[in-house]
Amino acid sequence: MRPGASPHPGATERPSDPEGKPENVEVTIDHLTKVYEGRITALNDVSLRIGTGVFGLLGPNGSGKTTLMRIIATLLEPTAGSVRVNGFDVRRQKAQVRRILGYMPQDFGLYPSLTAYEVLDYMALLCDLTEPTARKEAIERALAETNLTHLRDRRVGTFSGGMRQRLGIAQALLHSPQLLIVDEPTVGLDPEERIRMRSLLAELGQDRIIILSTHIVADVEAVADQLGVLYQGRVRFQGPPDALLRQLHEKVWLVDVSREELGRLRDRYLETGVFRSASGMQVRVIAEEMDHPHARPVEPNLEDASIWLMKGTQNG
Amino acid sequence: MGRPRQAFWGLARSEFLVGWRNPGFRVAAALCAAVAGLSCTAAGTTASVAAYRVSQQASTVIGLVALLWMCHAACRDAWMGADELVMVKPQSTEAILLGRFLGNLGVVLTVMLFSLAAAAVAQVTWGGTPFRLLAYLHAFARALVPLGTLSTLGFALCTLFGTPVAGGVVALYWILVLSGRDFVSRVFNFSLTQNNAIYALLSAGVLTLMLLVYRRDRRGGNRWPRPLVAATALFLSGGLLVAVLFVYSRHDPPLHRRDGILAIASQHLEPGRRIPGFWLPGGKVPLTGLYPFDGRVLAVGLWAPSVPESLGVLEVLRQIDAEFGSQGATAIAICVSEDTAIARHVARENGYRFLMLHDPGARQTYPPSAGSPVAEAYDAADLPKLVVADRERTVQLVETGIGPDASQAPDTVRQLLSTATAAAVPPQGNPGSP
Repeated sequence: MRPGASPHPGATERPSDPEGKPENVEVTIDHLTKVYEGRITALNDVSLRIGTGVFGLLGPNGSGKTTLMRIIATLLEPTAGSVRVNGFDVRRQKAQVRRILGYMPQDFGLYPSLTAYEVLDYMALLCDLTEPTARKEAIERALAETNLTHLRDRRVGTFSGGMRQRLGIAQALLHSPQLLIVDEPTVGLDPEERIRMRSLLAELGQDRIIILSTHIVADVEAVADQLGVLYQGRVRFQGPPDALLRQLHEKVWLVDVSREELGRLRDRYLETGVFRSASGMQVRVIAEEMDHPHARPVEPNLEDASIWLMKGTQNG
Repeated sequence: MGRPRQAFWGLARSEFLVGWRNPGFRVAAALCAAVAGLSCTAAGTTASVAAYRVSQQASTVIGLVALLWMCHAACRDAWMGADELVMVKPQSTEAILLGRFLGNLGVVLTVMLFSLAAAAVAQVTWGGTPFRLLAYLHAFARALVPLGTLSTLGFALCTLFGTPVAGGVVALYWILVLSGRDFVSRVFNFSLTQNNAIYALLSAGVLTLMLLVYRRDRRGGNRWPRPLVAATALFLSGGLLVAVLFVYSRHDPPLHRRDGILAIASQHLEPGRRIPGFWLPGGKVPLTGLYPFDGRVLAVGLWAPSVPESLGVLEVLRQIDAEFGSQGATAIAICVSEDTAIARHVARENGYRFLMLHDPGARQTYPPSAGSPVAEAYDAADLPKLVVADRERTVQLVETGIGPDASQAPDTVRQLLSTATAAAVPPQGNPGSP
């Protein structure tokens, strides 16, 4: 079944553009729970609605992000609840979901003895691009989109971390997926490669859903249109980043302190950052009110917000 | 059907490329080629002997390489972290796994080809004998099922269990069959060409079973596809059925013994007495005995491919056939080999036109008489052995001194044949034939 066609009886049929692609892609997650053997609950009653654009899935390590990604990517069976991608159920309609899905896992390897082009040729065959001309075009397009055209004949084993990550994205883009899932794409990259990866994701997110799972707040801050925060398997927030930041308006403070004062301040307030300054230390804290003489209010950022969601709400 | 088939071949090609570029492949190919080449450097090694040796290595060194390679191929993606990239792709499980299997089987067969090439170079260069393409083609054909079976079992088990340790089960089975081949029925030995049908069917069944289970467990197939279920049932039951039929139609102790073969083994060779009779396969009729050669002088030579020196007797038989065939002598070669195809192959490779039979009860033992009913009857502790019987079928000469380079019958044999063929033909209808 082609994307955009009626997925199954009872599913919402979506309007298609002249090329046959649906205009509005949506991932619907309802009351999703995943319990691993040993009664480890990775996801607990997670519900999310994800539309076109970059969706940043933020959470610390162990919060359940990768489990959620793998369930959406049809690699893992949920314990309860449902996930639908464009109306296709990831449990019962895996083949249909895989046709509209591109996935780059957190840790992946590619055949080091093959060139970038050969790897993509192999992956394109796996994407069912069997017609040679169409496959060649898809590979050329994916190489161009990820700025790897000049490296097409280089063996993957010689690639840097950033090139490898971009090739990971390229293989996920081969069949022009409506949903692209990237799990921790910037881990281990140098600053320049990280910026390049963010730009790439921002570009790609214009006409498809990109679910960007990361624990690096700056990645989400740079590219995410929507944000979901997971903590201990539960959704702590879903919405645009601005909405989250508004909740912290006039609650974030930058305080000049001496080293001796630092500990006392940490005990009283939720700390979101410490910086060295000419006079000693500067601490970013979250507080409803602040009576310190060297404190001044500052604009909240997503780093503050994520820490507040994860620790602040936990502490009440 | 067109698209999955295109993807399947494309994936197989890519898998072959991955293997071809793997340094492990070069090491394996070099190792196997070196072993094959070194086994064929002895002066006088013929193409048939060299090809036989390499085909035997398909069940030992090259077989082990095949098993290790396929276990690696099955677990490779998980080791390098490419499995999730592959599994989320929309391609069918069948195309992915069969493409992977075929591509890597291609790598294994390439190792075999390199080994044959190395053996051919060694045979021509150091052996000093002419190259015969047919011998190497036969060896390659004989290696297909053993290599295919080891590859299939290794790949399927490692794919299903997700660990190369599963390949150890196959290795263990194989070691037990090889080390216990004196005691275990030959039906369990997948290196013998007469068992090709059994193991080709069983391997196909194991492959389809792997597809079924893997599809359901790893890729979330909700249904058992009927064609795949039917194919699995057909291949596995067909393989088992053929195995059972083979056992009960052959002399394959300890599972089954045939009275006719036991009767052959119960005879004794003694100069001055009747030559041991037989009914053996390999001729133009299903079983050839001595009955059609009543009144002719018989030159019966026993040889075995596992004793390369014994192939000298075949050249002697050729010469006897050419020189004395028209005078009333019949040359008969009996191959003492577990593999029933060897006799036919060697005859074709070397253009032998005399009767080439094989002992269907033979095992690869030393001495040959311990495992072969015919060798036992002919008291052949060592090979080759040439027995000449006169027109009355009375043993006149037993020759054991034929060397590997023999091209002419020893003088004693020639003289005896001249005398025996000159004698009058006795009245027909010997009692107690064969």
